[in-house]
Amino acid sequence: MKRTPAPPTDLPEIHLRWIALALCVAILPHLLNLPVWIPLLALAMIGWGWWSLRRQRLPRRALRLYLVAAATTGVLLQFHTLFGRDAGIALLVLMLGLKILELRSRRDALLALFLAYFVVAGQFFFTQSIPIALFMLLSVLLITGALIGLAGTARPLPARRRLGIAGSLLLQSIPMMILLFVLFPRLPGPLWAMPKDSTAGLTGLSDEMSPGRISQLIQSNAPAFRATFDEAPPPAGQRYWRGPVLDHYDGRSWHRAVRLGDTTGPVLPETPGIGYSVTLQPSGQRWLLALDRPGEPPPGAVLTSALELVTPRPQHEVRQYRVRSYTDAVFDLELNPWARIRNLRLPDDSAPRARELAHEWMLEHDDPAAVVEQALVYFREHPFHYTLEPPLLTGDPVDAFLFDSRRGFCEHYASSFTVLMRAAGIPARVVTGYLGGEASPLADYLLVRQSDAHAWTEVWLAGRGWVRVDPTAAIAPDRIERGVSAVLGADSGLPAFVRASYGASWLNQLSMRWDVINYHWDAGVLAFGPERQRELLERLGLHRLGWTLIALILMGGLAGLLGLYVLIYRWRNRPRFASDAERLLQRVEALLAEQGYVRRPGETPDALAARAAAGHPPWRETLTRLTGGLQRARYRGDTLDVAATQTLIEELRAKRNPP
Amino acid sequence: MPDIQLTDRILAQLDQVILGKSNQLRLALTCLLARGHLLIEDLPGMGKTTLAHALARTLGLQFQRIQFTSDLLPADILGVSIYDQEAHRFSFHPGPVFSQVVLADEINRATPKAQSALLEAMEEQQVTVEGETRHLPEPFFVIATQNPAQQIGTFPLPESQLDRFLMRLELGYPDAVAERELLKGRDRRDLLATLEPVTGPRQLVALQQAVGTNKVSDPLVDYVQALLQYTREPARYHLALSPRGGLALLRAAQAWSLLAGRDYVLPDDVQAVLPAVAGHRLHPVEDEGLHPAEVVARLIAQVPIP
Repeated sequence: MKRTPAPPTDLPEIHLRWIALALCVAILPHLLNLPVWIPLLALAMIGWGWWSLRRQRLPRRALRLYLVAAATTGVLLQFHTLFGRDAGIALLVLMLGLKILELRSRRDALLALFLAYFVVAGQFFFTQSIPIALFMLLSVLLITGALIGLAGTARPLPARRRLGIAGSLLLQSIPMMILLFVLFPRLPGPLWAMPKDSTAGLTGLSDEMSPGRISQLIQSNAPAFRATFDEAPPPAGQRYWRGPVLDHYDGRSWHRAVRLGDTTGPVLPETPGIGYSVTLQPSGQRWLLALDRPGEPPPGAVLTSALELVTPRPQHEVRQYRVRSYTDAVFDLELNPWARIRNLRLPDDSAPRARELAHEWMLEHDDPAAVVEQALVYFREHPFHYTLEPPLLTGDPVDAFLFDSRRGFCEHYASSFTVLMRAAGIPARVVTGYLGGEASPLADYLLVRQSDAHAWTEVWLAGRGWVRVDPTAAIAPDRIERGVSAVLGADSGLPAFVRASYGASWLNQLSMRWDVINYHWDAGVLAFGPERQRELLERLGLHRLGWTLIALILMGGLAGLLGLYVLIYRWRNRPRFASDAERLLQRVEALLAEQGYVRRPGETPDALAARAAAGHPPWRETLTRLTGGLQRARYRGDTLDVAATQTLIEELRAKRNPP
Repeated sequence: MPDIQLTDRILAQLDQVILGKSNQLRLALTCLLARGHLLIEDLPGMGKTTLAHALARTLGLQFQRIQFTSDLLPADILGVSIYDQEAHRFSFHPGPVFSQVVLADEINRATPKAQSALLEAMEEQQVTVEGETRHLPEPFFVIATQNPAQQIGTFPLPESQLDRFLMRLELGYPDAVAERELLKGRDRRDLLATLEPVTGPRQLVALQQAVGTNKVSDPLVDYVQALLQYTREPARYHLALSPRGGLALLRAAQAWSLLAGRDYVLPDDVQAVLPAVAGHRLHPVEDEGLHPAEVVARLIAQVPIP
């Protein structure tokens, strides 16, 4: 059997080059998001496709079908599904790579390029950072350039011209983009149900504290949130950002308990509190961070009985909200019996030595406050050591930490302290959140990074309600005042950005500058969610119109913009006449064209007039006189009798066929 | 103001001799008035000689015919010095080129050497024989005829030589009416013998000078330039219109407008002479076999008139 090669493509090589380049650039950033083999395979396909197209010999249909099946199977094996964010985008990327293997005609090329737009847009499922957005812009520019080439003229446009047109198209689309961005109805959360796997890779506090969880966070330089204060921010030691409160202990890790029963709510003191707004990075969690202790919850969030701000849905997008906090607020003066039981509960077999110790303290002191003090003294007087690399704990983690290793960081201290308190009969719980925040030298906000993650303890004391106790402060007061880096030396094995020496370096300066840009991007663009949109519409006075009317305004705006572009285009291409004769000739031609006598490119005015006169004899005489005068003016240099010519044009108009 | 009636009378008389070819006659006269030379390419027996002859007689010009053959020598065209026994000196015997209308019949049958002797005379309006330069008469008009190049035993004119002819015409077969009249009418040779000159060399030179004064406006130059530029875009023609071709086009259009009784040039004039002026100068890259008239028609249709 002789092989019949697939018919070669009828696209010129210059188009193929552009398409291959545009597709490669579209796929490239997905190397950051997908398992590496997927984008690499797609790029390899494009290389192979490019090579076979140049040889004018595409792989056979059977082979292509086999490749499609293999790619699908590969995605299935990798993700165990074909749906969802990762699998979906992976499939799209692979199919885009395969598409080049059947790039036969203009139609295939168009399809491939439109698909490439989707692949580019797919980036937004993963990240919305500025560098990626800029890269996507480049990608869109290239795809549009390739499309313009396809739409094009007989001779291929030079690259600069293509990119110029593409750039001007992109610029023209900016007002439309802004209009759509501002007015298109924002749904809480993404437009479509965000698939489950989209939370992967987001860092943030979770509702569980198991050994190692927070130290993982501390390894991350990523910003957790940024806060802008109405007035001066509280001193460094007071910047406790309250996150999830963990009150259920299972002997190893801490969880949020199911809380039945109410609190009396915070007793708001006379002080006006601290007002600030927070721009929270997407965490995939439901917490909104707020300075300990938050007052009224922002719109779209509720305040739980443990003073956590919780939203109905996980945060997949940057969110901005305003809160007012009262650092000296007193709450839960009366402890609900259920809450008391919950906050005293310890697993029966856990931490026997710690319980013993706590019992001794209980017997020594009547006053729970004294027991708290005794425990802090215990931490202070024994050789406890603050380190992010604690030894592996064997046996009961609390006992092992308190009596053997004595090396650990906030989560160990908070966890063991809380266990001690509970064992001593004092209601206690772990609060997780962030401590600290770096004031930006360039803009008016406080940057809190994931590396500022922290855990502390709250104990309930009669007459004082819940009181914050931070056992880590007893060991390493510097951690509280100056951050993790201050406590750990340069040899601690921490990433460079957390080390103390990093703070003053030029690299840090640069990074803070970059953070300012990111802050404005986050706060100004990404945080524009449903609430912000509602606010804006209220400010514009549009909030009472309802979405139907707003949609109409949106469409009207878009149509207006298009109309404006058409007008600008026509104005820029308006006919410019060297003389009256040319202007009037144009009018005659327009009149004739109206009646179906459109001048052909090479047709002289006289020939056109003759044709029109032949088709519409009543015009003959007028046309002869009209063109005679106009032609003499144009080609002989006679002065044109404008008035007479206009009369003749009117005559022509009068004699035309009724439309 | 040019003498319209005169040119009309010339054309009317020519029309009586060459039947049904008024456009070609008008072009031939245009060519003469534009001081160009004419190449007629056609099969034998189409009336090429008759046309040349009738033109010469009607215009009152001397006429000479040179039959080009493969053994023709330059001296046969230009003339030769012969020793005069009585006067004891050489005297120059001018060749047939010293004539106001020269018909170079079947020019592509002579060797390139003989061809170039004539073509040089055409270009320079003068002849240098044995070191002495002699002026050709005024007006000087060469009508060369050529058989289609695929015939055996011919030396086709190279492009550089073709460019020296202002126009190339094809006469073609007469239509049925004209042919019937031709068959029934008097013998053409007798008719030629009875032709009376309508005008003379002097008036002709005056007309030639009037051609140059016909107004060429800026928009018209724009149009001519657009045409030239179009032919020079890469990948359209193997050979584009040269600057000489552009000048020829403008000059021919001026002459044509004069014949139309105008003292200014219209794009229509350019389009009327373009097939004859550009047909032999353009060779499109695609559609090689296309007839020159069709090539020019496409050119006209493609280039917008500014």
